[in-house]
Amino acid sequence: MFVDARKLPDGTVLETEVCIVGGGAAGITMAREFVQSGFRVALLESGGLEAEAETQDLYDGTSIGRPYQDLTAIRLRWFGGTTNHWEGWCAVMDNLDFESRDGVRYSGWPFPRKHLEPWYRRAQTVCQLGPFGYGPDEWGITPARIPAPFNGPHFICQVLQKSPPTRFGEVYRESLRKAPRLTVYLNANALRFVTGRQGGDVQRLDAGALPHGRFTVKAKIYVLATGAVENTRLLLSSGAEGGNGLGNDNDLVGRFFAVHVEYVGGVIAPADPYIDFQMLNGDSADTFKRDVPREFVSYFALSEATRARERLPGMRIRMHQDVGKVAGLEALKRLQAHQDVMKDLGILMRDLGGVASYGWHRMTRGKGVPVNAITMRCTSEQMPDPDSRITLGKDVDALGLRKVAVDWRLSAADKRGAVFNNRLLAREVGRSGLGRMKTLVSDNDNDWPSDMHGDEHTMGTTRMHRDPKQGVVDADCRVHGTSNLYVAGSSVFPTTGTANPTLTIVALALRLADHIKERLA
Amino acid sequence: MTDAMRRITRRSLGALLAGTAVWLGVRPAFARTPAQRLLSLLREQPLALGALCVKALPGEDADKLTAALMRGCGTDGSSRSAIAANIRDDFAQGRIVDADGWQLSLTEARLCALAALSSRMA
Repeated sequence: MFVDARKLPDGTVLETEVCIVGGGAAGITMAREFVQSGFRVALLESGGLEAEAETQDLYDGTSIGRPYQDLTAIRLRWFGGTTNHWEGWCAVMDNLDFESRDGVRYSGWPFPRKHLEPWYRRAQTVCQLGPFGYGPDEWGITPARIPAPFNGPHFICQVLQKSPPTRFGEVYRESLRKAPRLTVYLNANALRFVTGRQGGDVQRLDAGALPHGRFTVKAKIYVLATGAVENTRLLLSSGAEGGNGLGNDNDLVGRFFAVHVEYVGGVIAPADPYIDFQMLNGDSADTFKRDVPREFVSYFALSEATRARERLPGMRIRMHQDVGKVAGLEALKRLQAHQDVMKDLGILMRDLGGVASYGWHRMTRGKGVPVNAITMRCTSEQMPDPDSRITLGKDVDALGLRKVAVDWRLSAADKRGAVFNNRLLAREVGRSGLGRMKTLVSDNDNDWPSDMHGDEHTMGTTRMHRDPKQGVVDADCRVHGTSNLYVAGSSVFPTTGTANPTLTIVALALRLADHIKERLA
Repeated sequence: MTDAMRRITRRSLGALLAGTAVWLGVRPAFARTPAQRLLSLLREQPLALGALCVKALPGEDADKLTAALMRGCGTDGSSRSAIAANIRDDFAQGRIVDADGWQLSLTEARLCALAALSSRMA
C-alpha cells in the first residue's frame, strides 16, 4: 500500500515492526525481502513518485573543504532514490578491499569478500544483471586479446556489468503496492530518532511532511537507508537532547567521508597507431551473449598483488582514444554530398596517399584511422581519512533540520598513491612496448590535475567495525550502543575500493534483511 | 677534453646520429618500434622532446651523452638492435627518466637530448 504522508493527521503515531527510512536501492531491496514475512513494515520515502523541486531542495548543503559536487544534483529524492538517474554499472569489490592492509590505516571490513558472495549473487538478480562473474574470460575476452601490460602482473583487465539500469522505484513499485503488511509512506521525512536521556535504543522516530505536518513512527527495528550524506545528517540530528548525535559517542559519525577520485592521469602515444583498441575502450559498452545478450564494459585496474605489496590505493583506468583524421577520406565523404565538389576533389587528390593508407590498414589491420593518443581516465580509491568528514552546518532546511557541511579532503597518501600508480603505469606501457606515456600527475602532494573531482559515490561516514571506538556500526550494520537501529548503504563501507558501489549496497541490504528476518522470526 | 677525445667524440656523435636517422627512417610506419614512434615526435615537433630530455638530464653535455650511449652500443653507434635492446633493458631495470611527465628509458632520453644538443651545436 502507498500512503501520502501529507494527508496524515498531525500527531499521528504509526506502529510497525520494522521502519525503513529511505526508498532508494537499499531501502527498496530490504522492503522487497520483507514482503513474504509475517511482520509489518513501514517504508518512509521523502519524495513522491516523481521529482519535486521543494523536496529535492532538502538535499541542499555547503562544501567547506575541497570543492565537492552540488548535493542537490548528484542524488535524487523521490521513490527509487538515486537509482532514478543511475547509469547501471555494477562491479564487485576486490578481495583486498575487505582486508586489513599493511600501511593503510583504518582499512579492513569485519568480514572477507567471500562472506558477502552469497548476497552478491542474489544482488545480481535484484539489479537485473547477468550471471555472477566479473572476469574478462567470462565475457568473451580471451587472454590473447588483452595486450601487455594489461595482462599482469601490475595491471589487469576487469569487467563492469550493466544493469538495464534498474529504476528501483518503477520496477518494484507494484510488488510493494500489493504487499499486505507493507506500507510505503510517500512525502515522509525522517527528522530525528529519539532515544532516552542516556542514549541507547531508539524509542520513536519523529517525522514530518512538507510544509508543516508532523507524525511519529514507533517500531521494534529501524533501518536508516538514506545514503552516506543523509545517514550522517540524521544520526547527528538524533539521540538525546543536547547530545552530539546518535551512535556518535566516539565522534565517528560523518568522519571518513570518501568518494572515488576521478582525473586524467596521463596520455599514451601508442607505438602502433593501428592497434585494435576496441576492447580497451571504456566509453562504449560491448555486448556478449550470456543467456541473453548482456551489456558490459572492460577496464584496467591495478592488480591486488601490487596494491598489497606497494601499499597503494586502488586505481581503475578507462581509455579514451583520440583518433586521427584522414583529410582525403573526409573529402571523399563530403564529395558524396555534392557540396563543394572542386574543393574536396582537390583535397582528395592531394591526400591520395592518406586514403591509400587508410584502405591498406583497414584491409590488413581491420582499422584504417590511426590513434594519435590515448587518454587515461583514472578512478582512484580514497584512503580512509577521519579528517574528511560531514558535519552539520548552521542553516536549516524547510523542515527545520540542519543542513550538512561537507569537508571533503584528500590526503598526501591519496596523492602519492596516484603519482606512484601513474608512474608505474607509464613504465609498464614503455616496458611492454605499447608506447610511451606522459603522466599528468605531479609530485606535489596538494597539486592534483585540474580536472580532478570527486564522483557522486558518497561512502564511509558510518563505517563498519566490531570495535565501537573504530566504527559507527557493527558487523551486522547495527549502530553501536543501540539494539534496534541499523544502517544500510555505502556509508557503512570502511574502505571503498574503486568498484561502483550499488551492487555492494544491494548485497549488504539483502544481508541485513536476512539478519532482521532471523531476529524477528 | 683532449683533441683525441674530441675527434672520437665527433666521430662517435656522427655515427650515432647517422644510425639514429637510419633507425628512424627506413622501416615502414606500422612496423616502428615504440622508441621510433616516440622519436618521430622530434620530426613533428622539432627538438621539443629533446629539450625536455636535456633538462631532465642535468650535467650531461653532448660528450657525456655520446660516451654513455657508445658504452651501451659498442663502437658501432649505428647499431639499431643494440639501442633497442638497451631501451628494453632500461625499462626492465627501472632506468627511467621523467621528461616533463614523459616516462622514457635512459637510453632514448639520452638520444633525444643528444639530438637537441647537436642541433644547437650545428
